[in-house]
Amino acid sequence: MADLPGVTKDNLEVKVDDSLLTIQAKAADMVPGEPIYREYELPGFFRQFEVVDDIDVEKIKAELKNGVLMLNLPLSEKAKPKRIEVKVGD
Amino acid sequence: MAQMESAQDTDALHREIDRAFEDFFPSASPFSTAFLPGRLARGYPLVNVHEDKDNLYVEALAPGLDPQSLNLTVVHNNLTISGEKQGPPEDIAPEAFHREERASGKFVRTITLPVEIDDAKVSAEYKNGLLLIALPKSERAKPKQIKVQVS
Repeated sequence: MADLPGVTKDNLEVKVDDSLLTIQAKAADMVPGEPIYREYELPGFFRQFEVVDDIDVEKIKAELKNGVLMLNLPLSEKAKPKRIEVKVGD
Repeated sequence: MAQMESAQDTDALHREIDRAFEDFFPSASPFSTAFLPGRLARGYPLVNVHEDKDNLYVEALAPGLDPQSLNLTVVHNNLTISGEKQGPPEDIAPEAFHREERASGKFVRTITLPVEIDDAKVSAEYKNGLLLIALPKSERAKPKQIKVQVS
């Protein structure tokens, strides 16, 4: 989940390259008129993460709602943790 | 003469205190003298205030709010924004978090507006995580041209 206020779908780019996840976005504020008092600016966002497990790139889902990006990166079959049977000896 | 001096002293004291507060709360603010509690509350959400000749506009940086929880009230010249920022979905087990940087929870912020507004005509929109509030200035607050008679 990433907070991306002021970002619309057209200004957002999400990509996965090998194990590198990149989120890049341009933000704009939408308030009309002349500024009298400002506490923040919206210069844009850029962040990269190393994704340790193997991601099934085909199945990535992304949703941008109320300025929050929800990314769903399903693990590929071989990366899913496998249960190891523990045999209890006598 | 003694009285003049004491007046200057209290002025100097005033300035010292103002300066001490400036150091503690570095956000420069035209609302500073009007609203000490506002600064102490450490302002979430951050706001930008703009104006044109008929309206005041407040934009608040507030992604991920639960729109049902949003509450805006105006009393005289004070605008209060309260609501709740949604955290991650509940069905994720706590151990499954690798990194948690986003804050979430309830918040309240009151801002004193620099101009008198018409509280019956305020409108607000929540879009892309930005809360946009338009507050039309009251008639009295709009600048009026005064005709100067030259006799």
